Amino acid sequence: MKEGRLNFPFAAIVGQEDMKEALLLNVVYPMIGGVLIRGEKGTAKSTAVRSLAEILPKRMVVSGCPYRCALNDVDHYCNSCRERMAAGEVLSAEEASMRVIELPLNATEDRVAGTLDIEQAIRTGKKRFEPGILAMANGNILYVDEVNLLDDHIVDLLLDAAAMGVNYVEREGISYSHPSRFVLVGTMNPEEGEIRPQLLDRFGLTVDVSGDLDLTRRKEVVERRIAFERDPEAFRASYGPESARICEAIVSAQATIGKITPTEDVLDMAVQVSMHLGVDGHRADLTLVKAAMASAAMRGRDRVQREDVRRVAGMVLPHRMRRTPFEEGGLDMEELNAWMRERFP
Amino acid sequence: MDEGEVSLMNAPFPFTGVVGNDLAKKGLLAALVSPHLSGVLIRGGTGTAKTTMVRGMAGLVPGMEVVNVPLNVTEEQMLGGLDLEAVLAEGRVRRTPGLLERAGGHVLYVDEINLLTERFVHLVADARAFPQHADGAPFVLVGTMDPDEGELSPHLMDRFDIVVDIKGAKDAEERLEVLRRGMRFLRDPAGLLDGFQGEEAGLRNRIARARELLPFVTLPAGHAETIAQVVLEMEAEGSRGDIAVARTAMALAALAGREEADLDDVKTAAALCLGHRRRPARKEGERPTAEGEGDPSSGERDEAGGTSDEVLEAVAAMLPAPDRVIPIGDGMMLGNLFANARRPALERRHRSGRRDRAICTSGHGRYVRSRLPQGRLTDLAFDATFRAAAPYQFQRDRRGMALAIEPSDLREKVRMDRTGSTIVFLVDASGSMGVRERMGMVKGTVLTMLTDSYQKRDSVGLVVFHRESAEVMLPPTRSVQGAYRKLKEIPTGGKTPLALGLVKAGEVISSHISRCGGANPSLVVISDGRANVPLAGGDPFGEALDVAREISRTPIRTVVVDTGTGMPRIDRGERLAEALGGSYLRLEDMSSTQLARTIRAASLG
Repeated sequence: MKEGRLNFPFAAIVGQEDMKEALLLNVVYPMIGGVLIRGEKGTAKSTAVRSLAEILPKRMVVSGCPYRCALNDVDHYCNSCRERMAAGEVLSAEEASMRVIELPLNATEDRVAGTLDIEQAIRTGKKRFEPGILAMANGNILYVDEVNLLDDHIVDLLLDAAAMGVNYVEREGISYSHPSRFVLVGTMNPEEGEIRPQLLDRFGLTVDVSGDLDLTRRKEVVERRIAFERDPEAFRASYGPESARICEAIVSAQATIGKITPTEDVLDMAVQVSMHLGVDGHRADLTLVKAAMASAAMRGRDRVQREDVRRVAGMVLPHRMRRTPFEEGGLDMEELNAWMRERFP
Repeated sequence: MDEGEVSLMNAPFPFTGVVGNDLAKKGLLAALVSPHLSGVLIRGGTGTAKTTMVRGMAGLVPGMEVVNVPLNVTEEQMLGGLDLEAVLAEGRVRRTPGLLERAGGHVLYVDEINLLTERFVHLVADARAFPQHADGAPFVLVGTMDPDEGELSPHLMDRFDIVVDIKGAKDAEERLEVLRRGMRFLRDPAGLLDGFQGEEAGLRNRIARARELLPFVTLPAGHAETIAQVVLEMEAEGSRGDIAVARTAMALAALAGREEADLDDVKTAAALCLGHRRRPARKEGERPTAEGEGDPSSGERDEAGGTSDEVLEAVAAMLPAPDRVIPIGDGMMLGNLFANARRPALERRHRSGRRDRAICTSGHGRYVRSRLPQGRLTDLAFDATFRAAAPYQFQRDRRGMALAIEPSDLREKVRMDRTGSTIVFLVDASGSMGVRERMGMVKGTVLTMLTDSYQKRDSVGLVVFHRESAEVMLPPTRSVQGAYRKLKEIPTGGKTPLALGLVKAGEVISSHISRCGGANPSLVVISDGRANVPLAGGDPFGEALDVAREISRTPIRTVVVDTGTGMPRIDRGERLAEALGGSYLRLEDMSSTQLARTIRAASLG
């Protein structure tokens, strides 16, 4: 684990509440399916994502597992953990931090999917799989900056893994599969090109960020940034308690979410909202409920309410409105809010 | 699959728990029952339970798994090859089976099959049709795709006996049930699986019985005739359709526990097997839909008691409305013009790849196979190199390593990328184009092509000329939406500086190519050719022809869409196309048929 540069603390980001909320919801409940953050340059998109590292909670993983399988998620164990378990071994736990793994734009297919371990092959004549970025991403956040500029064949790899939660490798004499369950986080500047609809659909949430127009807050942004650059250590230390508080909130929300059972009323509302907007496919309905659950958990409730659905609708639905490449997507939030207030007071 | 390779997947969502999608389920079950069916392709948008259904097939036949073909698969991996470890350890040449062999007796599943190279789809289909090992059981081929990401070409589609289009549930109650089950599976998978245990067991029994029964199932002669009539009336191509319908009907009968296929089996089978085989739009609006196919004389009664009309009607009701097929077909028609452009030199150069697949020389793109190095080696294919070196290891001095590699062993990677082409539209927005309908038609045409371009990952640019200037409204970009927005904003009016437009378009293309690379640049000129603004003070049209001849010396392929209407027709568009060395077509010719419909459907202008 590299700690090359120090991240700006998440807690010190001024404003951009939607973006922060979307990121936190995903950390609390990775099943939401990640978030795509769209906005112009200089809107703290990348800063926010990278700063997550600071507040991500620890998790219990299988000791010695190269994919850091979650200890209590036997259903998604990798082959080696399964074999160890089948051989009667009692798997022990170790603590690992959830991390932000970056997928650089210039990453090659080999690097992303993993490939033949060349050194091993030459030295011993044995084929061994050398894990790639999709392996590192298992149980973590996979972050792609400028995700709209990612090469098509890399996007295909991501789609495969995101759809199955498994990375299947059939290349270079290697036939291998391992779990690859990650929270996909992408940032992009829409001016530089669109994102492939299929990839777009894989993101659970989207948020659009723009520069803050409030003068006081703008000033605050600059001041904090300068303070950080002048003395990163001290700046981070000054936000230490706040970071710890957020981390605790995440841990407690993660515990709460297991207790939530969405009510029939909330399920019905999710379906009605999607249908009202003419959104096809069932992913929207499911994601609305999942995000609403996380939203409730974040607020310390173990019951999902209509207000949770209302709160997350603006993040779940905008990117699902478009049905053909040419229909301009666009969610009239005012209309939707009015409709929701009337239909589901 | 392989020994020691434990299935990674936790139990999939139960097949019987998938709400609705009855036709698709029947198709998949028929394929599980009948070893003669060549494969099932399921087409549908995102989030329509395609993958869920296919993954649910695991275990419906005892011991049968769903084997994935990942999009990153290499050719060697698919077909198998020399077992490296065996050679090195024992000095024995042994074959290691490829994915296609390992899938024998299982479901071979290709998700996003439309994103796989055409060559790979053929490899898979060939392996299904001609198994390499007579003793091994064939695999059940299942593909899924989202048509929004690009179509599978008709001849590839034809390799699947069964093609089903699916949609998400429309009805609120059904949708709610999908959501309930989805949430349940997420929160309490064991509970949900328990709930469907009975149904799953019942289905497993039904399939097992059907597999035993199938050899004894017959198709009454009358039904065979009905099938032939239906296939003929639907103008399905080839005789694969007839055979597929018959096989499927028999499999469906076996599933129902009957020894004879009945008319309902035939109807369902026809809906499963013929939708993708209909000849594309023969006559305007004359697709065999319920209201379109009303000729009673064709409905002869056969002895089994059904008429082909009845079947047709039933089939039409089951198949999706064909409206969305038309614009795509149109796009293909236009797209194909590039292939027919009179550019012999260029064609030779591009013969090796599809329009949307370029072999890349840089380290980018998907590694598809290996070859002997061509020129300086920069992209070593380790696996192929090792395999090439392996047989000689016992003779070579290995100096303590497991492998001694010599220059003759070296292999390089062949990579392919879907870079797509660069297409620039040069649109005449002068006063003569101002007639509302004509500009509408132009926009419709461009829109059709944009859909095609989008699916092929092309970069699309837009240059518009009118009055005294030519304006780059959109530099080549993959943001087709951007192109679409700009298209809506095209102003019209003024004179026709055609030569200037051509110059500008040429510049745009060459600068884009030099900056971003990309193969197969194309220029689509949409104009009536009535140039009336000179570039350098000469004859406006003569100058345009000069520029056109310049362009003809570049690798840019061209199409001229002549927007001129009425009589007397002037031949300027044709002369321009000739000077460009490109294809020529008249907007007018297409306006009466599919094109007008495309435009209406897109409600442009």
